[in-house]
Amino acid sequence: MTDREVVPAAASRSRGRVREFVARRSGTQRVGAVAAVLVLASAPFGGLRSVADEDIQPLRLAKGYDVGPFEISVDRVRQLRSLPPVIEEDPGSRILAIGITVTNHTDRPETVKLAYTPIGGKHTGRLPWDDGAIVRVFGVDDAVELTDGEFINPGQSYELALLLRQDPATDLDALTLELNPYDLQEVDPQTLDPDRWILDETPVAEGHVPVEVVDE
Amino acid sequence: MIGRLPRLGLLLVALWVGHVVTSELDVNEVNTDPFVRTGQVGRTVHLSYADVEVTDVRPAKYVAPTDETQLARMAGGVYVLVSATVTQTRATDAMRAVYLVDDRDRQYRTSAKAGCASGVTGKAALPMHALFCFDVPVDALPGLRFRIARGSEIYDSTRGDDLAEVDLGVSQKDADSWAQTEDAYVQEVYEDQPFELKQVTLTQVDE
Repeated sequence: MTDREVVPAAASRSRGRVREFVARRSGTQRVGAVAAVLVLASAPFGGLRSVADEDIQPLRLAKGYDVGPFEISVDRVRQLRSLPPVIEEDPGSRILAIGITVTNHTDRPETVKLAYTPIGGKHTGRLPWDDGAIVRVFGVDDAVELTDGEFINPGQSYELALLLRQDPATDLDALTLELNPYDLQEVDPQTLDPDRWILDETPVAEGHVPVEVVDE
Repeated sequence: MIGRLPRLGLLLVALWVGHVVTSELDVNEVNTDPFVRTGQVGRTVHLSYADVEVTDVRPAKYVAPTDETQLARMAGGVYVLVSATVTQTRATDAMRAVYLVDDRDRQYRTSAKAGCASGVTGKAALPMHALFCFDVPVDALPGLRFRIARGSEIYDSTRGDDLAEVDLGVSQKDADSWAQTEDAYVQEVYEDQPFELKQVTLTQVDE
């Protein structure tokens, strides 16, 4: 039997150097290194994808904003006492009428509810309507009230009036409006409801817009 | 013997491949498009469960409710009024998938505010006469096709089933003319007796 000198393999020497290097690092450095490796490992699954810019634009009247299924512009905002022939005067409240233009720029019908849901606000002094509704939606051209079951077909534009019942003491200078965009959820295995629009809580635009008071 | 790092690399590659397969490829999609039976206005389209005939197509700017105290509904584009007779041939059934498609395959749903039919339910061998009212932008009018099937397009339950598609025969010249229409008709839904569309003259409501 012949004694043989055992020569460590190159890989084994390399592992030894790595172990020695790691052993010399502090606990904090090791944790940081593990975190960096995990982040890099998530790259194939979108982990390094850039976060969407969340710049919120100032809300401008008559400017169209893309919220996903629709382009929406807020055309004018008025405070009314009544809106004949559809709403009579109520001494205990006013009507905040938000005039918008909505265009469906997708290739499928989308509901009216999707068109008014992105529009919110602060300090609106909103009161519920008698039936508990938050907002009532009317077509400007025919003064017909639209239900949530109404669809806006592709390529179709409508001028709509969103009517909120409002506290007469509301400070209109403090009122701000905001427009929230939607994200498209292409697959939802839980509900088998593909291509759903999910409202994003970060507005695409917000700000104060002048409110025209109509005292008639 | 594979080292730890290559093994980790292989694991990551395997996970990435799995991610691509499940998220980028349509592994769950089954190609079961509807069986489209085509036809023209005035000719019956025979489906495996019903016969469908489009009897009339016309434009309107307004649809007036049967309740004369209510305001007329105005189209954002043009109301395309499609009259159709649907006869179930096997059993009572409901045609809930009713829409138009244009030459870019964009879909158009019935107008809810117009108050016309959005679907039609009928007993076997009993013809049901329906009016469907679609609000369509004027640039989509030429080449419109009317589609109707049982099931619901909302839940995509028309897949693998018969679907009738009727070319409405709207030419560019028709579309140019229809875009100018100011016609108004009284709403109809559906019933087992044939009906004639009633054209009306609207009166202005003072504010």
